[in-house]
Amino acid sequence: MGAFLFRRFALTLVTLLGITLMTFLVMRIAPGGLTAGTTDLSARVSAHEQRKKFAALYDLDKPWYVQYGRWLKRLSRLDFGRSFKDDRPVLEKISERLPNTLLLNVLSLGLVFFVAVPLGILAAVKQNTVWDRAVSALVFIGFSAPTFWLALMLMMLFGVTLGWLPLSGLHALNADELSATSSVLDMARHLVLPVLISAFAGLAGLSRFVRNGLLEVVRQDYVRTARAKGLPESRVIFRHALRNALIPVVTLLGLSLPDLIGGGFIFETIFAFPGMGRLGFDAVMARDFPVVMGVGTIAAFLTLAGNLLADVTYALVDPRIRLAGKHR
Amino acid sequence: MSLLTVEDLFVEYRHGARRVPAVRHVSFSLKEGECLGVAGESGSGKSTLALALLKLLPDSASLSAQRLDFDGRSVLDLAPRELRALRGGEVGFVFQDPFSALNPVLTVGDQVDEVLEWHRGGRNRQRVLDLFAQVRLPDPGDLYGAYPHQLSGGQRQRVCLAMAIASNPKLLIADEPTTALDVTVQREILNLLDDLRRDVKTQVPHPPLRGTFPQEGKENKEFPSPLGRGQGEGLAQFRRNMKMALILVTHNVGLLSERSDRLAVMYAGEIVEIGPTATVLSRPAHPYTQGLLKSLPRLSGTDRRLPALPGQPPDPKELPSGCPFRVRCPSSFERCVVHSPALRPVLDGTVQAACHLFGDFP
Ligand SMILES: Nc1ncnc2c1ncn2[C@@H]1O[C@H](COP(=O)(O)OP(=O)(O)OP(=O)(O)O)[C@@H](O)[C@H]1O
Ligand code: SF4
Ligand SMILES: [Mg+2]
Repeated sequence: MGAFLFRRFALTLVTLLGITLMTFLVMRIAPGGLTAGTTDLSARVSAHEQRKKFAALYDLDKPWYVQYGRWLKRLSRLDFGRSFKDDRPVLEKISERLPNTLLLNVLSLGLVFFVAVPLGILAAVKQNTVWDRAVSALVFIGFSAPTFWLALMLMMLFGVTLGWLPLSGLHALNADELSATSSVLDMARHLVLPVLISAFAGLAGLSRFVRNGLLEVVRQDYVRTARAKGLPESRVIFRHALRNALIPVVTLLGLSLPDLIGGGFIFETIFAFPGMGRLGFDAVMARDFPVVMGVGTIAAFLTLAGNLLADVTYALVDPRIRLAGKHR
Repeated sequence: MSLLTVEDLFVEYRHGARRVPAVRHVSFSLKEGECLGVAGESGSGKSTLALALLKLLPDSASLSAQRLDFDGRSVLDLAPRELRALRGGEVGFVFQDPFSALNPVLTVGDQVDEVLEWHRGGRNRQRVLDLFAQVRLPDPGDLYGAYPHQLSGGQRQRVCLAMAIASNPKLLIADEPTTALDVTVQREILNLLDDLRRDVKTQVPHPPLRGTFPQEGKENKEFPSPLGRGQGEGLAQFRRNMKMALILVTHNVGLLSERSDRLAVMYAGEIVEIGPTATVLSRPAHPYTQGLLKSLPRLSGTDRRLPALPGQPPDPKELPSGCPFRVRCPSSFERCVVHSPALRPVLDGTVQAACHLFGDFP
């Protein structure tokens, strides 16, 4: 287990380096070059000043690997530099957006798992009954309905026709005047539609995954052994089959952790949601190099941390990995 | 008294719209403490038969029988709860592949303890360790918390055996328990089976689930004897000192010669010959049994899959008319094409065979 963790950790570090390097190089070869974005964007900082800052910050006269090395060095001090666009520290800009995206995605991922796993079990245990068909129908809709269309439909229904929920943003316009409780309530009302819609597709996929996984496990010999021991079906399913069927689900959970921080751009635009997706996209369009590098690095870091966490959890739930090599 | 009576058992699997018969017209009975060997080529329906006895078949199978009685009860008419009390309680199962028969995420001790929990009134770690010792697992003490993947194939099969005998069953059904193992380990496991059969004292079935175990010698009104020998007598009087009966399935007849009392030979889902093992082996009546014995490896006990006979067993989806063996049978004649032979007593009458050579037709 220890060796396994160390190996995974080392691999994670190498991958992280690779990702930042790739981002760095891709930005360098982007059409127009890095200076294209530094001409006419900000009223507060003149283009000339920016170019000077640019040269100083990134040593554009030096070879690319020197530049990358210096960038790395600054990174080790958690210095991501300042935005070309408004000269604000990159870290500050990210820390405004990250919590919003995290909140939205944690809620939606939680919803996905707590609804999809029971749905999948239901569909598998009641295979080929109305229950199974109902779940299949949901899966079909979830896979075939485009998210933006679904979002617009629900916004129409709940936001316009019924007027129950706010349409966009995360806070009401008068949020500053609200008391603590009503501002939390206000935020919750703003989150309902985005959470529901971003959960929907995942719900469909995961319930299918759990159903098929369980049906596969139920065919295994050890499930027959459990039945041959005279255990009732509920115990066979929940104690013997489900544990095995959920192991891949744990992996899936780990793999979906990166989604927690990367917000969907289209999705965030529809809801005018102040999240990471729009921050990153806008930065790329504006060639706001420090912001792109910052968002990319933090996203990569959290992604890899998520993967590592998934591997560790996987090892913890599966004794064949946890105790690998420990033969009697 | 007959422990198990099977009459005209029929199992078919559904393949889409098709129905494929896997076991047909099987009838036999098993006495208390008796060992029945079941032999036959791959695909002859041995496993299907073994699973059918306690309705453990997959959902795609349908089962019918004129009679399927275990210990005076009709298995087909039992309530699900009563059926579960039989499974793992009065009847233990051991399957072919010890590498897949144990749950990979539960410890082996836990998996054996579960049988005690369900059939013997509660978990009992010490009893699990005793069982491990009884199946001759080394260092039973450290073994409780081990996971299946930490054990060798032979050790896993011993764990499966411990699980199967944990509640002192009256009948053990072992479906090719040694096929997946090394030759040396095979022998050990088979010898162990013999010893267990002698040592396991079958008992009055314990009240299922978490009921309290009635005190020995006390009146037992709450759980009247399922043996139907009068109520209210002391439990000790019901405790029988009887060998555990065994159904040992194998495709290697050689393994059976030393240990089974009777031998049933299966072909294409039917029993084609059944009788005392010694008689069947020394004077095989059915042409298929004769061929099977001729092709036996010299060193009996090696469990290699040799082609038993020239030709292939028939596809159960397209059985030939008449005798299912006629395509490969060296002695087939006209009648074999038209009529399918039924089991009938042959030779001295202790052996039954399904072959027209023994018919008294005109
Ligand atoms: N789950 C199943 N679904 C469909 N057909 C099956 C199933 N299990 C077995 N069969 C078919 O039933 C027939 C008998 O199979 P069975 O496993 O009982 O034979 P066997 O004598 O145990 O063979 P082996 O020596 O290979 O274990 C075969 O034709 C097989 O293809
Ligand atoms: S009935 Fe005919 S074909 Fe079948 S085994 Fe006997 S002799 Fe051979
Ligand atoms: Mg088999």
